[in-house]
Amino acid sequence: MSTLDKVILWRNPDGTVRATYFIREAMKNDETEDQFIERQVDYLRKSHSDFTDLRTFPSTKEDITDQLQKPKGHWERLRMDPDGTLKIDETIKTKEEVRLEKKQGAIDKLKAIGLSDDEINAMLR
Amino acid sequence: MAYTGLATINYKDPLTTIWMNSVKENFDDMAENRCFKAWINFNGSGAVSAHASFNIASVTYNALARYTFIFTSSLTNTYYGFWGMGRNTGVNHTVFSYCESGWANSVTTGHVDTEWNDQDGGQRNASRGTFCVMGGKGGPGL
Repeated sequence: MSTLDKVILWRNPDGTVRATYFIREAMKNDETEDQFIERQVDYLRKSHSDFTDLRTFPSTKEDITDQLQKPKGHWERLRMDPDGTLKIDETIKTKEEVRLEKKQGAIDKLKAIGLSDDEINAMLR
Repeated sequence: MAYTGLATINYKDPLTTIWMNSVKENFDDMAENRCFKAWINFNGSGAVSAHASFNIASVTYNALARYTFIFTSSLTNTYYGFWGMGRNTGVNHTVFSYCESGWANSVTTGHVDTEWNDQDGGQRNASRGTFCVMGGKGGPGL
């Protein structure tokens, strides 16, 4: 069981990226990898209106891994230029980072009104 | 459904068409109603990879915690059951999947769009997840 190294990237209008990965064993006997990929891409375009007009860019799992292993590499910071160049936008805060900032802000406010760490932890559980 | 016909044959009795048809009927029932129609065990963080799967042709990572699974062979209808469960190792939370109802046609005979959340309702990728589909015979009122 394996996933093809080839990946199709979809560029959303805002520069965010979707990625489609392919299961090798799902290929038909007389089908090449490219034909299999094309069949899956066609299906996504026909079944999902939000895919229909997106541009696709052939890529590899290695390309994606290279980006995600950069400092601050994260899917939520992965962006694609219109020419298909992948990059990490370090200025973007992930949803988890925003959540943790809000949590810390709430903790600071609770401490300011005199709650102890134990009381705050009990509230957060 | 009760198993039929199988008790009527004894050891070393010759196989008959009736008995073999009975076996097939029971097998078809198991395949239709009691077996998984599709499943995948996958790593959904970073570059997605499948560790093992059945009847899944592709996985699309749409955005944080949102995956689309396309079946290799389409199912006969959309009255199947499905669920996913996994772990997000980043925050060490268990994650669960549900149908992404915000999309049109998110549960079809050809694919399922899913979103994965943790116990607090936060969207989380499945660092290691399993997604399963089973049943689906019949339909409304059956």
